[in-house]
Amino acid sequence: MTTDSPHDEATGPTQAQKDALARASTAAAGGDAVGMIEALHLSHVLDGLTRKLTQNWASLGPDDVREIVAELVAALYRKVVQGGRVKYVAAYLYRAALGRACDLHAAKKQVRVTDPAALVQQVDGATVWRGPDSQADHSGGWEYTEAMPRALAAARRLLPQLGQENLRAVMAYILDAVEAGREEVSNVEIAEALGLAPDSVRQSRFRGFQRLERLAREDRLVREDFAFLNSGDDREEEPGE
Amino acid sequence: MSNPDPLHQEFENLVRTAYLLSTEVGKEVEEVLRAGLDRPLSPAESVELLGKVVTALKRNAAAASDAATVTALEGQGEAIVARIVAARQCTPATLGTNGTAVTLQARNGIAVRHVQPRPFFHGKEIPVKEGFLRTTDIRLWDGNERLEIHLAQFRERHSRKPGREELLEIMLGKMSLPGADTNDEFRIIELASSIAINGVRKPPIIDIAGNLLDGNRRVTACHLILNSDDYSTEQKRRAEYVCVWQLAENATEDEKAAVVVSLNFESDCKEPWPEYVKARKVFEEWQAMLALEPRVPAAERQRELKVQLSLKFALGRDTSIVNRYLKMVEVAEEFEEHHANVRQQEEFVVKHRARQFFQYFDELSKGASPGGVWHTLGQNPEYKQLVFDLLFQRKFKKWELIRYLRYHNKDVQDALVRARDDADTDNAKDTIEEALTQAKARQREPRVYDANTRIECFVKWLEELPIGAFRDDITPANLQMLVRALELVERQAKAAGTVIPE
Repeated sequence: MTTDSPHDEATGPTQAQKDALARASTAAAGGDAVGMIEALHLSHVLDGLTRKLTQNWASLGPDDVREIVAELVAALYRKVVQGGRVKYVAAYLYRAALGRACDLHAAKKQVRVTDPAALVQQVDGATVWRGPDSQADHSGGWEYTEAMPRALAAARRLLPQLGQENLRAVMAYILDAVEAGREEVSNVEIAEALGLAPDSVRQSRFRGFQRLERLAREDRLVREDFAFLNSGDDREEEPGE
Repeated sequence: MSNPDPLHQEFENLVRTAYLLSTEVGKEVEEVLRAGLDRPLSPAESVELLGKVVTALKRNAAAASDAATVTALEGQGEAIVARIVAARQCTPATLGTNGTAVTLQARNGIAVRHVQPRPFFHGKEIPVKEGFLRTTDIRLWDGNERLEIHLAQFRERHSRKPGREELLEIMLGKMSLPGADTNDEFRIIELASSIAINGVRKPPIIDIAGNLLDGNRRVTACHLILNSDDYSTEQKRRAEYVCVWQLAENATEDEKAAVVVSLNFESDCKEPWPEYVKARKVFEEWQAMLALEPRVPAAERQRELKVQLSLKFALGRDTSIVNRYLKMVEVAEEFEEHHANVRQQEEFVVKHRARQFFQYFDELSKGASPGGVWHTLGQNPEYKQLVFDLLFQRKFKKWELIRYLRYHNKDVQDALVRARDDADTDNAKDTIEEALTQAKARQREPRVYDANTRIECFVKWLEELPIGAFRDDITPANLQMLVRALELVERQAKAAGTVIPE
């Protein structure tokens, strides 16, 4: 008899977790909300998200965290039941959690984030990130919606001013992925598509977002105090401009 | 918070979306899942969280006018949450590791029951219970004799037994074990195709701790369905729960051995349908599908239809079997038509003969391009009819001879006619074999044995050709062909180590 348990694997989700996550997706696609919750609960992904959010976003109280996780699950269900495709449920929930947590954190204007890998570590006190209304937006607040075409067009107009060709190509690729409603786009994928090295993509991506944000402020496409990327998880890769 | 400019909000959302979309989160997600296992919420915390989840879902569904979801969640939030939390507490995901019994579940109104009459395994009457388990809660058997070599190899490399996921990888041929077949050795894909359509029809058998004694392939196939994008939601549902038979707590090792021996050594005497029958079924369905098309479907549409057809008959997305069946039946139909209409044979005699020689039609239908068997027969209707006659008369000694029919010439045709008219079947068989074997040999002879003679003749002729002929008589196309041939000769000569004078 085997003696393996979920805890003696070195890394990575266990097969039972993968299966439960797949089942959650299947249940959601079939309009079975209860089945989806049950599978998510069995996968322990909600436990993990709760623990991580609590640990990384000290400004968020237990109620905030529970609200965020509950909204994510509702958003996931809405997306899938409406025919949207979510290939990696855990990654989807995690990205959405980052967006929601950052949103709420900024709204509270409290800066006390302890995880250096968190998406937003030091939000400027003046920055107020007004995310979409959670009641109306089913995407979890970070996916392409039909309300974005003007912003996309504006962002594309800024592309020529972003800098060198590779950087423009990387940012254009990401914007295309947003428009296509993609769930995620990796550096490796972009690198393969554009014939660049993944490291080069990583750097271009970071600089691209930084410049896009600056240009957007200059063109008054965002509020003057908008500074989403005043620091980020790629900071160590920034060559020090 | 003041009301933001809509464009500001839109652009800020876009930046956030684009950033998150392109953020690599693989490692972080693994950490989240790990944290969930290492530090799970307590039941009380789970109740609180899931309560909010249900509320959010209800609110969200109401906002989206999703009446079905609202109804499903209406008024029973607490009960749902309590059930879900309790279910995880007693989930058998890790049961069996410490000898705890796996508990069968009722499902779809089917209660857990004792199987009556008690089944016999290898002559022993062994009591078993029938009920449902989640596929993910069934433990593949690490004592599976089918995996004996793989398991020994794994133990030698890792100094331990494989874990649950590793066993699954071995079964699916995904684990790199030198010498092991990585090409679906246990034919899981084919089985998964069947289960996706029919569910698991024969209950796997487990012991009290949830270890599989029989049905490792079926359970592996269910895992494959659950984790593959090739299967629909409905098909995944069929693989989610499996109806199993469970041995009693006090089952002895002898009884477990009896189950294994009985199900792996004793034949169930099931005789699969002959290919003739299966191919006919597929062909009839194909005709029905074509009849529903408003016009003759183009190639792309035909490919789509054939995928549907293949899936319908549990043959998977690969349409090679369907294509083969369709061709075989087309040839068989020609065969039957010839004998019924031209030779005036009795209909059912012809059908029996077509069934008996159905595999020959596979060989006959191969090679639709020039030089192939089917093309050769198509070029010469008399020859094709002759072959059909000989098949009917059972005068082909072995099916391999069908492949040599493409070496058709007058000698072959004459010999086959003689064989058809020969009342002595054995003589006729020898005649056919000799004629076709010789035709095949002759086909090779001029290309190999006469090579030197031919080259000598050609070179001599070429050298004696007046120079002007290259300009006046030989067409540019032929000249180009000659140059290409000479370049080929030069490459081959160098490869053979021949010194070529400058």
